[in-house]
Amino acid sequence: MTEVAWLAALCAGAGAGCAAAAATAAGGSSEAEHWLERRGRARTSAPSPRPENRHHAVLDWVLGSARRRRERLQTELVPLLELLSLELGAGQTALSGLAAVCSRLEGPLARDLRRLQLMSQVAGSAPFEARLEAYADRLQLPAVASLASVLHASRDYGAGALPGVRALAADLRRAQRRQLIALSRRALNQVLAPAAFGILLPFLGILLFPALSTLSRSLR
Amino acid sequence: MPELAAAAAGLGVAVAVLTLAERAVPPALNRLLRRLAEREAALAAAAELGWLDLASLTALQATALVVGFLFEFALTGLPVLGLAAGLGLAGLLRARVAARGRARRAALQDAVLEAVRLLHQLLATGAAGVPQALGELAERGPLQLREHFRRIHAAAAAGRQGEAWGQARRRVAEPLFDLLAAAVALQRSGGAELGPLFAQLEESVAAAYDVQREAQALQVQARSAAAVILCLPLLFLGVLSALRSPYLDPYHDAGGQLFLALMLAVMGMSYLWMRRLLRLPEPPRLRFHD
Repeated sequence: MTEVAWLAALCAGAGAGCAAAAATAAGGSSEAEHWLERRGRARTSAPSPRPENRHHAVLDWVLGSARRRRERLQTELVPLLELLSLELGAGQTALSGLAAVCSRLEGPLARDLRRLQLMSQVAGSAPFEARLEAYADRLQLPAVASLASVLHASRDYGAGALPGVRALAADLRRAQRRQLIALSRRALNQVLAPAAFGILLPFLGILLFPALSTLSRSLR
Repeated sequence: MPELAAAAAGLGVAVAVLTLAERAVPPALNRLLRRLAEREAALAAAAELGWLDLASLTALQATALVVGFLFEFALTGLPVLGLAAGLGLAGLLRARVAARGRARRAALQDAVLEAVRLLHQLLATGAAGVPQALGELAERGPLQLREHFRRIHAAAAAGRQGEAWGQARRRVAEPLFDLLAAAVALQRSGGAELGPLFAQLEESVAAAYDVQREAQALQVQARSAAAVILCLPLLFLGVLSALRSPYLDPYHDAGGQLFLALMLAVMGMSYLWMRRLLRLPEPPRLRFHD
């Protein structure tokens, strides 16, 4: 009976693990992803440090959706910056250039930036740079925080935003390259486990099964 | 042989029932099948062989499955091993088609990069504007993209350049080409200078492609090593069967067949898991209004 209970507990644990893994591996169309998207939108418009957000943070961590969302936003940031540098090169101001680029692009980051710009245009509200900084802080996106700093310096001190934006885009491309190298090296190590336990071990089993079954038969 | 006939008859009945009662197929299974069909169709299209489409690829794989099954079954007399050999042969065929698609894609990526380089060179001279540079690409650009640039150049004269870029983006389906199209669209509306952007893109994207291809090469090494290990039991059992070795007798009873099926299933699943682990993230497409 005890063994059966252990087996049941093990199965339940494995099932829960599989469900969590499946939810993590599921694409952007999953319910959880939609929920997080909606939540991201809601938080963008009205940040609320309520206690239930702590549970949401745990859920984020479990699902891994927050990490994926961050990665997606960071990936989207690179072409956005490159196109922004194009606009800045044409003599546009940083904010109007960003507005022009975001109005063309489709994607979560462009959508969020459009919303931030719109909100910053309301009289008496926080400026766009401050909102962008808060947004970067909330989503833990250092690259967006760097963009906010560049825009801040450009607005307050009249510094040219073009070199900063261009350097940021180049840095992000380099970071992506480094990440790809790390990912490919890590993957090569990760496949050792399935290769050893999932392929070599069954192969040994196939090799030894006739010998072992004959041996057990002769021992009987 | 009677087992084979029975299996074939069973399969035929199952297919007939599924075909007749399409509504009875659960929606989840229906979605899965549709997704599989879409993936296979994309694979066939990426290979760019005129005669290869979803139907012909499926037929080829089914033929490979049957041939592999019959061959191994005739050699060893073990249906489980026959099924594994059939699946292996079908997988090999699919891998060849996928490899061709990957090679085509790498060539297309190089072509887009070359187009960006050429555009940068032409714009850097200052003698040519963007429309002239696009005309030049249509005449002397990379072969794979000439047709697209020709259409874009022709559409520009009719004032429908945005539409032509959109069509080209859908056909080329490369993030760098998307960025090129977005940059040209922004330049059209704002009159920006494209030269510095193209110079930057040329450098960073070429380096990214290098890394990606190096990673893919390392993956091929790991994948092929796993495939070789996967083939070893088939080979081992095939050779012993051909030599009529009594060592394989335990595999001819139900317990032995079950054990073999289980082990082969574990190996197959592990191989698929390895492939999943080795898969590199695809660079996302850039979506924008033309």
